[in-house]
Amino acid sequence: MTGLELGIGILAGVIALILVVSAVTIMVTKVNSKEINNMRNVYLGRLANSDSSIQDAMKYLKLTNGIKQQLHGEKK
Amino acid sequence: MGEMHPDRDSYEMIWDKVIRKEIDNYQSSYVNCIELIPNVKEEIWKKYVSLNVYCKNNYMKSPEGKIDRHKVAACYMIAIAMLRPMRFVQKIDNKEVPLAINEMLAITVGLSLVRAFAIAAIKENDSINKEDADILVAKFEDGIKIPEGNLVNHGVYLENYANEIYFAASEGKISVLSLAHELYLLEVITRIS
Repeated sequence: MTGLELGIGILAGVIALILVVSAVTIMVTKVNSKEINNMRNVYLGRLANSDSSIQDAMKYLKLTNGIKQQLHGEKK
Repeated sequence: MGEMHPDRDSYEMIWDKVIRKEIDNYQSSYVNCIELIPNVKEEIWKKYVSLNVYCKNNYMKSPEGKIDRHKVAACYMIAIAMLRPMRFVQKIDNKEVPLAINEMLAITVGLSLVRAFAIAAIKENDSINKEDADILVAKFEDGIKIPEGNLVNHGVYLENYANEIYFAASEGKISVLSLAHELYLLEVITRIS
């Protein structure tokens, strides 16, 4: 075998190796991608509005958790 | 029949019964040390309205509907935290004392509102019998329960809370949803106490 034939053989072998590795990589990636693509995306919806009336609550409104309560333990 | 939202009449009550009263408490505790920003009452209302509208437009299914009690309270808290209506104009006993008075005011307003809303919700709940409702309402009588004692790892809970609000507001990272969630948890702590 001449040096030229050896060189060509090595080159062919390296190219073949690269092609095989590339093919395997692409196959593995596509399989995983398929699984990811099959997963449903979860979209967040908006928040539900409320029915509660602020005016009704005002009947019960008083000052609590204020500075007097903190400083002196005063209860209103 | 339907309320206008945001509701100005309710704000008048919130101002008189909670905000103005608490500001007076601070001014009488720190005599001659605190001044208010100009037109404070209207400034708080305008800021609250803009936060309320922002919340509805960006987070809620219907921008025309109402937001729940925790978000209402959170909007008031953020309005106060951002405006900083009270300013120290003099040192206290000639010392600069680090007091987050605006953030504490915000917390007081938020908790007072959550308490009122929670009581209203309990009383309107037909699935609870009167005796159980009265027991639940009694838990809210003196205000929202604050973690203390062994439940607090370091410092004082309200001071930590005030610091959180201060830094979040300063960094432009204060969130209606986060604050509303915190208020919800404090309401739950009160309910199960």
